Amino acid sequence: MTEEQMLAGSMNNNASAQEVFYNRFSPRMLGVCYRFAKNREDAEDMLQEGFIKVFTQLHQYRNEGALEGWIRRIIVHTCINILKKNKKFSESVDLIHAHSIHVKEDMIPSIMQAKQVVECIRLLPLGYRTVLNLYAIEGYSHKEISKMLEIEESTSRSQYTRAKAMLEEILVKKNIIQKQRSRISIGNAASLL
Amino acid sequence: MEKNYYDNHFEQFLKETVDDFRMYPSRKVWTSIYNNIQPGRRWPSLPIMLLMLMTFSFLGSSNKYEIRKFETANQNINLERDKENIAGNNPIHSDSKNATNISGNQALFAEAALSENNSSNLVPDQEGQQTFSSNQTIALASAKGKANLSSSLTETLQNTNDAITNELAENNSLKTGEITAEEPTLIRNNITKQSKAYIEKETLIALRDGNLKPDFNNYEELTVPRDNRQLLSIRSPRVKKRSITYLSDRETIEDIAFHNKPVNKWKGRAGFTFYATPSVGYRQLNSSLETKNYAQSLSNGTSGLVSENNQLEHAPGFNLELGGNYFYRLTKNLRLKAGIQINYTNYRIHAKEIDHPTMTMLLVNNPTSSSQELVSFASSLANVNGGTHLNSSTFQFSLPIGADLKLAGNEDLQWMIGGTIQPTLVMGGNPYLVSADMKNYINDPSMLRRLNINSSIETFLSYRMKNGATLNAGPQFRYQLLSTYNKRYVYDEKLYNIGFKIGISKNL
Repeated sequence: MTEEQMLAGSMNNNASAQEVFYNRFSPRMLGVCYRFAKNREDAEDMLQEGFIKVFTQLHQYRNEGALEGWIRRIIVHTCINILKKNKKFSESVDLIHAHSIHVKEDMIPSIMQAKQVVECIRLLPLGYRTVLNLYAIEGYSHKEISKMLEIEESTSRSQYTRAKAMLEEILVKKNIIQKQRSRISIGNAASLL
Repeated sequence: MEKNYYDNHFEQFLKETVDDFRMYPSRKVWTSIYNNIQPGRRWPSLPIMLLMLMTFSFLGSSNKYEIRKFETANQNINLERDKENIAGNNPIHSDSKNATNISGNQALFAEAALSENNSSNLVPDQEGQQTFSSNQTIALASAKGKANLSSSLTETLQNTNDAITNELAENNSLKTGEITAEEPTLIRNNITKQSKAYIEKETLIALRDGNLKPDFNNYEELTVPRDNRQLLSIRSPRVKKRSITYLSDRETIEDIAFHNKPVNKWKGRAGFTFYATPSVGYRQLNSSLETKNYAQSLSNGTSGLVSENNQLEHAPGFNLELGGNYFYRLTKNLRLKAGIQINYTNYRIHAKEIDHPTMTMLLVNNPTSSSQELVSFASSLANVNGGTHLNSSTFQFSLPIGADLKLAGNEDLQWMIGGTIQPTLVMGGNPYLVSADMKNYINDPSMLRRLNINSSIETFLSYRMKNGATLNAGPQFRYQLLSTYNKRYVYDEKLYNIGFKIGISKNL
């Protein structure tokens, strides 16, 4: 089934086309949700809610830009909306002076294979992680992030700076990247994917 | 591959690294989405409806059998009573010399006697005339209006009786005979609507015209003067032509019915069984060479290939099957059977619950290619015997189809062997999957195979009890032919259990 057929079928509420659609995009979208969520179950809840929105709003898709990018935006916004319902998230994302958090060695999972970077991102505090995900990976600006999370733009910047520093520390400790004077080299990046 | 980058390329590094990160959602996510976007086609409704349909069909069929049996027994009892009454010469004669007391039950009987399809209480007198008994007429008044019969009503009632008698005679269905007042309900069932309507109409007319005076204080017993009874006597020459007796008529009908009854080819050959099988269940785990190599490379230099069944500490668990089936005897020694069954499978895993979740990887098959890949999971269960016992269980619904063969025995005690193939729907479960490095367990029901096939072989003794039911008991071995997990998971798990089956059978 081509993408056009899949898209047309999904818009016409064709169940098999919708399933193909879901199977094609859900693995990557669950990866997105997983970076935002507390655990896999929460990530699946986010994915579920996100895809329901995708299917109900599919008729609004104008074929402008990549379909995956359009889906991804809906999924990310769904994740943020779900996180914002959590009181702890609001407290966490507003907490500017979070530098007292220390990453202990035993907090880093002793897994040997790919996806380590994602797991390391997930070790960050919720507020840090969300801002880092939105800025560094999803490509939103600090202005957009401040609107999405209903925080000050400066807060977003400071959160990101600290998140970045903390993530670097974790990646170095995990020997994924190595600090060499002014630059960092990736250690066993070949095994990441 | 080695890649260098500067601090300001950190974002690029992150994006490139995690952009292709994929995880495979469990099946329930799609099910929930599907149920939301296609509310009219909820997937579980069909199998659940099918299950309920089969269950009700089965229960309905069983109950129908019981009701039919009950009705047959009642009919036999009534027949015997009729015969006894006839033999006892206890008719209600119209030429009784004394006034007759009629009870309320007799009133019902009188109504019934007017039926054109049933034996009436018309008794031929010596001249061969057909005469309504006065009892009947009085009872008619009693039943309808609970009224006392006055002499002024004689004409009306006589007309009524005359009309009814003629109607019955025209239909050529009157039979001589007698029916006792103890059988009102039996006869009442056969009364025709036409006769009832006629009686009601005439009674209402009589009440309207003042010919019938209700007496609600005295309707249990009505005394009829002999003069009135005599006035009710009527003649019907056409009835005279039929002179067969009640007894011979009945016997003839029974004889015809007996020799022309529909042949039930299932009778004696078919039956049903209910059973329960408590058992001890375990599993056998296998994997491909590629998986074994992978596990070995992650298991810190263990020599030789990793054997899953040695590395993982499991113990048998309690299993249970409950079900029922219909069987059909093809030959004297062979019978086929098919039914429904629910299964609970279970085995225990020795593990240790760790304080904080750790990330671990599950080795899975890539659905789009033949390669294997790792999927990350969080787990707080370590593959160490640390006092935690996990129950890896499933709930199944299956449709066993098979056969039983008699090896030895007589009618009361038989030794049989049997076997079934069981297409199975896995309704749910709680499976624990071992991680790629065999150090952790992950709970993921989405890896369960939805449709499976089981097989069973059994041998049992079959003992026929005094009430006609048959008690079956014997050992059973059940084996799952396909893996518990779907094609995504690299390990192949076959469940098997050994149990003791107890059942009770009944022939239809």
